[in-house]
Amino acid sequence: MSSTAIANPRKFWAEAPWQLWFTQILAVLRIELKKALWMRRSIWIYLLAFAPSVMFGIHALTSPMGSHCSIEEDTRVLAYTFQIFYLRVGMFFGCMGLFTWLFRGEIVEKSLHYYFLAPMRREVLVIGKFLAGFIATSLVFGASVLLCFTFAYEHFGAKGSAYVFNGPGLGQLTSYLLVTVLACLGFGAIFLALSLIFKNPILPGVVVLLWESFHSVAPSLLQKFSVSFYLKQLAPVSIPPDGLLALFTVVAEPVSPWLAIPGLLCLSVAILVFACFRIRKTEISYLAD
Amino acid sequence: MAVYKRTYKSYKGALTPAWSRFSVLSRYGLSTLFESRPFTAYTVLCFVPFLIGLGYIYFINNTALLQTILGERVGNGMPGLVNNDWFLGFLGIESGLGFILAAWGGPGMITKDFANNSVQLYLSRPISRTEYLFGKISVLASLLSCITWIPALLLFFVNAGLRGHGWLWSNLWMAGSIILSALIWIAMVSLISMAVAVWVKWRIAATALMLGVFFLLPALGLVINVILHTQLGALINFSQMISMVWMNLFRFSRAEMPSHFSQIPLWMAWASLLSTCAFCFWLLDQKLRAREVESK
Amino acid sequence: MPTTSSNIVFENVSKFYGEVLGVNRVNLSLPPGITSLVGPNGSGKTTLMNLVTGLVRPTQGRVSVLGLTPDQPEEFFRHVGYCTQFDSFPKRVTGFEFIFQSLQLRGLGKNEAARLAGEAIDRVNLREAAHRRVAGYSKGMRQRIRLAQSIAHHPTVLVLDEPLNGLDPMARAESIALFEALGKQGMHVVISSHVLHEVDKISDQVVLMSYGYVVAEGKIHGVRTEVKEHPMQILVRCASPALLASRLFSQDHVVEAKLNNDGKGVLVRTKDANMFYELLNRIIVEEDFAVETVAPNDDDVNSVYQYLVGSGGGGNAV
Repeated sequence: MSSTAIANPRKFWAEAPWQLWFTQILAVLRIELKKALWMRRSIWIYLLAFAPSVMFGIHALTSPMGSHCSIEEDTRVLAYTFQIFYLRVGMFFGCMGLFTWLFRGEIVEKSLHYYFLAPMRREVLVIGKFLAGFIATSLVFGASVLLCFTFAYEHFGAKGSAYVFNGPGLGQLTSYLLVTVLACLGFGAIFLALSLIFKNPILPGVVVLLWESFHSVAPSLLQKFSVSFYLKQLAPVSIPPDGLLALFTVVAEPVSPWLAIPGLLCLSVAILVFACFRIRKTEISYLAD
Repeated sequence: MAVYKRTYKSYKGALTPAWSRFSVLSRYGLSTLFESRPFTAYTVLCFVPFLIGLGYIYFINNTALLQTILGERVGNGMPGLVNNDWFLGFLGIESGLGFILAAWGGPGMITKDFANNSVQLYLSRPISRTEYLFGKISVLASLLSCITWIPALLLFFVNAGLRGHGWLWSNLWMAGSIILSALIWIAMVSLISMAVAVWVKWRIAATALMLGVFFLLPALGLVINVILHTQLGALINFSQMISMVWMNLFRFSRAEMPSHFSQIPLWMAWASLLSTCAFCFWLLDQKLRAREVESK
Repeated sequence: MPTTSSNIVFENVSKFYGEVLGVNRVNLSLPPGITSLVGPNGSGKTTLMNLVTGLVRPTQGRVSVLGLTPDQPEEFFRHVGYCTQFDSFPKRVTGFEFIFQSLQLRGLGKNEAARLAGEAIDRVNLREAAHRRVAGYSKGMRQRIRLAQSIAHHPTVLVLDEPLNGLDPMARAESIALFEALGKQGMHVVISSHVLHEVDKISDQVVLMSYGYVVAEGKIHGVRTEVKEHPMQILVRCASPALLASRLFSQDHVVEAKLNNDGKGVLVRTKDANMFYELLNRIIVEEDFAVETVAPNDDDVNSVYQYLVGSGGGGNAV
């Protein structure tokens, strides 16, 4: 933020060129969404996201009318897949790859200076890129979760439809999609910030992975600095704590969903604000890393 | 302009042997890696288990000394402890440390050449793609050898020296197991490291992909097993496949292996590893080229 | 250093990359017109340009362009265009898309951005290749499309880092004509180039750099006359060069008089050009001498570069 913004925020916000910023964010969104969703190098995120969907599809094909399984079992399997694969690994690595690329990739391709030479605040650039990454990951992982859910219940026929539309199914789907969106928001903010701080954000990313995996052994105050802490509590179906899995799924001191969502939003916004301050100091130096 | 002063002469002096020229890449690759102080410090750290193992073997074979130091709590001789299980555990620890070494230093050796457009410079010299690749892989292979089978063999012979010829002759097969197990692991990790590097051409993405191969794929394998009620998802869990092959080489019986290992036949584990290596070779053949044609 | 709002001003600017010096204690005020940045590789030219455009921050000092700083990007980059030395582009864009996207980032609407992009592409004669991928362009085409991108938004300050790199002679001549036209329109054009004799023709002022320091700056002739340790070279083409040389030898201010290889001129090195010209006038009148041409032989960027910076500057004095 400029010194004027800090000294007189009311005046700054009143005189801010919102229309220009909106136009610029849209321009950045268009460019970045195309890169994130339609380029050949984005194939990996589709493979990562839709691999479980393919598995569920095969399962649905091999179990017509639920011949070898039950709705309860498939609900448990879906919950297991979501909490262990999607939350812990899939969305984590997906966001790591996509959000890290937003700025680090531009430095590798030596094209970041085109953005820096535009009459655009760097904070606007950060917000535009973050939104593009957030929309891309939410769309891809949201679609794959939806597909998994569909395949999980579709092959049960009328029983499946009843479970979804007249039972808890729709509520569970909404929760899964909400958690997906919030996970993309939280992890995205973390990796965007890391990519602005570190030349090689993968090693700090591994530290984040370890923290997200084992934060439940930390004091409860520290746990609030973890994205998974909030997301675990929003998962619609709990999976039984079984050995090491308890570390990933059990919440010792749960908070209400009405606090978990704003909590995660606050954490993400705080990280983004830090990223906006950080990018102002970024200089163009295209040494091969 | 007429050429009338033919004073230019091409080089006619001595040349180094053609077979050894790849070692230029290895030498410079190693020196570049060790320019990084954190990397050097971490490599030194990788030798700590060897030192601990050395101390352990010494005290196990000198329990009287240990009793003197620690008091009467130590029992009389524990001859069975330094066995195949022990060496397997040592290799496991060192391979874990070595994996981080490979993920940290391996991809950068090739990605930097792509980033600096120097691949075509190398390949325009009288050096082939195979020699280039061999030169790069030998850096990783030598580093990983120095922290896996070489110290393990040293520990083996130290233990043999302290225990006597009887132990050595009855356990000589273990030396072969150590070497073969480590070489299989080194080949896998080195090939995957080089393959991801030439595929994504960006060190950070290559490191992330390596982490993904060894952490993400097991999770996916687990999901496959859970959803499809099968055990074949373990075939993409390379850590498990390597562990199975190692346990077999170290002559563990099926009963001694973890229960989920017995669900997969050994030949499938070998096939999984070999096909991964083959895929890496194919990827290297496709991507390690000096030119890139941009389609219109 | 007076700060005016019509100049590019460096106030005691230094830039260090860790322990490596980029530029040190630069004090400059560049007026409108064409300014050449000249210096060997590693002298700090690109660093200076990056400082002007905010791609790097000064370790010390302040840079302002027309009274604006890079901390006000919305206003600053409306006036500034920069054609960098980086031969890189966003992946899989066509030439047109490359310029079009950058104009959209400036807040322009689709139609206006398309119009300006087309205009810029026409200016650099890339209309036929505009819808091909930039990755398939030749080096010269890539250079031209980057130039087009930097001028598309009609900036008032244009910074060009080696803009003639990779261009064939025709394209170079066209680019130089373009820079000249822009300079005459009152724009600030800052060019760094190693093609000294070409930028010499169009430059209004020169900034010589060496090892991160500004060695000399100002109009070329002014810089040359300040270089007193190197006597001025003047070439006089005449019918009787030997006679002229004999008349010159006796003068204290004449350091050397050498007959030209073709035998039709004398290359004179003199410590005082004005006195030499007075003497030459007298000789012409007294001896009824026929003189074909009289021209300074080293009153150009290349010679100044050679004297102040040293050998390896590239290009030969005529």
